[in-house]
Amino acid sequence: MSFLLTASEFAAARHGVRDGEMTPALYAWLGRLVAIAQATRALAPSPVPGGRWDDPDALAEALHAWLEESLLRGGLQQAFDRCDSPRALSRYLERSLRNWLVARSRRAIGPRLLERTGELLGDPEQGFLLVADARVPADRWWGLAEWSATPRLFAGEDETLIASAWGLGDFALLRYPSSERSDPVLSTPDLHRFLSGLLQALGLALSGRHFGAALRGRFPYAYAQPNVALDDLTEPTGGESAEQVFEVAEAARLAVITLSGRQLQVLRDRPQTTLEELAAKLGVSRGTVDNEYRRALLKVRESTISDEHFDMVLEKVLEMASEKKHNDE
Amino acid sequence: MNDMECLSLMELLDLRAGAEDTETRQHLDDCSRCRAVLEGLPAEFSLPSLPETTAALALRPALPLPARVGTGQLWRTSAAGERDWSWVVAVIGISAESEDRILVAPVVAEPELATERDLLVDSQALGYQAFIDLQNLGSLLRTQLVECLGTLSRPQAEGLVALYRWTLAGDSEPKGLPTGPRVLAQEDPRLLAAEGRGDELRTLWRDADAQVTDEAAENDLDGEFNQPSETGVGLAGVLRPRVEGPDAEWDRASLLEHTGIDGARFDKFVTDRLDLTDKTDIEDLAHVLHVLDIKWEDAERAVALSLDTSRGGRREASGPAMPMAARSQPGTPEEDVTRDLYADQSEIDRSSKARRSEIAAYLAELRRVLDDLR
Repeated sequence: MSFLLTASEFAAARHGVRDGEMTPALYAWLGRLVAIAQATRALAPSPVPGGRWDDPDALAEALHAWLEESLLRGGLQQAFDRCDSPRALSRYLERSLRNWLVARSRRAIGPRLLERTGELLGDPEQGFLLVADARVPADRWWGLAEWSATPRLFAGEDETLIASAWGLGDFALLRYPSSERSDPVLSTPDLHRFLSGLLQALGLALSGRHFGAALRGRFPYAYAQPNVALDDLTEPTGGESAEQVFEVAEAARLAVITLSGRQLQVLRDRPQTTLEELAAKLGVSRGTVDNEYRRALLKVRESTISDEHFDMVLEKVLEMASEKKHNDE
Repeated sequence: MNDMECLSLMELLDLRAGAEDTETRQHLDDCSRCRAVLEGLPAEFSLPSLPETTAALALRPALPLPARVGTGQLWRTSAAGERDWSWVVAVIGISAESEDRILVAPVVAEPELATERDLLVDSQALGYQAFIDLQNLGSLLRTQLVECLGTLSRPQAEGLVALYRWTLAGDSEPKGLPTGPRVLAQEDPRLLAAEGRGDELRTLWRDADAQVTDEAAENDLDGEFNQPSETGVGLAGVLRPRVEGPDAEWDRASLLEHTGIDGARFDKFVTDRLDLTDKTDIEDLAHVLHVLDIKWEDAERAVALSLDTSRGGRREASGPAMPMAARSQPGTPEEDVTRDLYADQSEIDRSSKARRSEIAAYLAELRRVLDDLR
């Protein structure tokens, strides 16, 4: 028996969704999708409502939270607008489930970003300069210590700030905090790049409120309010020895699941191959190879427990891919 | 190979259980990612069962099949040979070249990726928030329209047309529309995302593109188009190696960002489609040729060949003059906006003599703009 919906179940489910109802077969199949993700350890335990997959109620809780927060709020309409077959639906919603869980995890601890921004700006070793002090952090103005003259104060719209924030390029979004002091959304070096890059791009002093607006605009999911309380959510810590090895292997396995086939191929072959050779092999431009390599590294970083574990996880991912390569050859 | 081409856990488990599906089996054989995922799955596991139940969803506004295709309609569309995926698009208008060809912009359900050129759409129309991707415009055939899902409100439809005109026709930037933050740097990841969507959308445009090729061939037989006066490489042959393939110095996204031209227009350049009649694409083409550092001798020959096979000729006025902007004043019925967007108040002289004259004029203007740039 297949795990997928049958063609007739798929057609009935699409028809039902159009009519505002979820068929029993679709409900059961969604439960199966979550259950398979749980049973195959294809999703990290951390973001699950309740924080543990092995809780007897975790499966039903996860399914209902997913339905409530996403699928019933347009997610199913969207899925059936995009998917024309049962197998497409399984690919689409599996990715949707993963994205929803990760976004949920980030939201749970997002507000720490602004607090850490204040800490970085106030650290004299970090290259920032207090331009105008105030009692409230939001009203303090900051520039770059390297600027020779006192900067003018930014007086533009938030939209300009957000556009400049997007212009800073991609950021690796960490899925887990490695400790209470680390950042769940941006690593410390990336947060520094964000703050200094924003000041550099605008060439004007910014206030704490401006940094808040830029962070909120660029990483909106970190500030959106979850519909279900996540107070009980627990996060794994780095761990050591056997536990750490296990966590690295698990992170690598999760990273491989999130990568596309081409991204994994680029990640695996890039160190031994020139951009030109790889582009020729894949039949794409050098720019595409370069982009895919960057995206692949970001995905591995997103699956990594913390910054400190990144190299180990990457090595494990490459090992998993290369083992397959040897088998193929 | 994109993210959605790789197999789901369910498909992998089905294959492991011996399911016979040649297509997915072939993918597994070719994809190291899917093989690694399959190997990492536990050998045995049990699935708890959930009680069967139903749930109510928010209904979309009921929409009878519209009598005619019009601006602002949102359609689910398909592509020939594609069994797994649909695309939701917003209709901009009907092509003047063929009633069967519809100009559309894809709808993307990730509003955070919208730029200042994309129109944000709230959840009223589709049941979820999205944006209309004006960076990846394209044409499809009427037969590709599967299901009408909704209609934009009048202000949204007018906003769509305004953004389209800004993006493609060089009108001034419309103000006050719900769009995303401005793109300020080439490093902006939204550009990369747009390029990725462009790659995936090629499947959707394929049917209409094929028809253009077929029509061009038929027109050649009818004598409407001159046979190429010489054999050689057209514009596509000159541009493609520079933005695709192993020796490419530029990728499409970087080139578009650097030149500031629209993706849909660039796609016409790399498929040898130039605006012989109105020559609205000369400035953009000049920028592309300039940035890619293509010598005039090479460019002239290639552009001449592409013009030779492009549609059009000399425009000759035959009706009342009516500025296009005036035809879409607020309050104008949507059908009229649709019709007028592409309605032509003039006739095109497609005789060999007229076309030769227009080709010469096009090349002269292109040379002038290029000289200005250099």
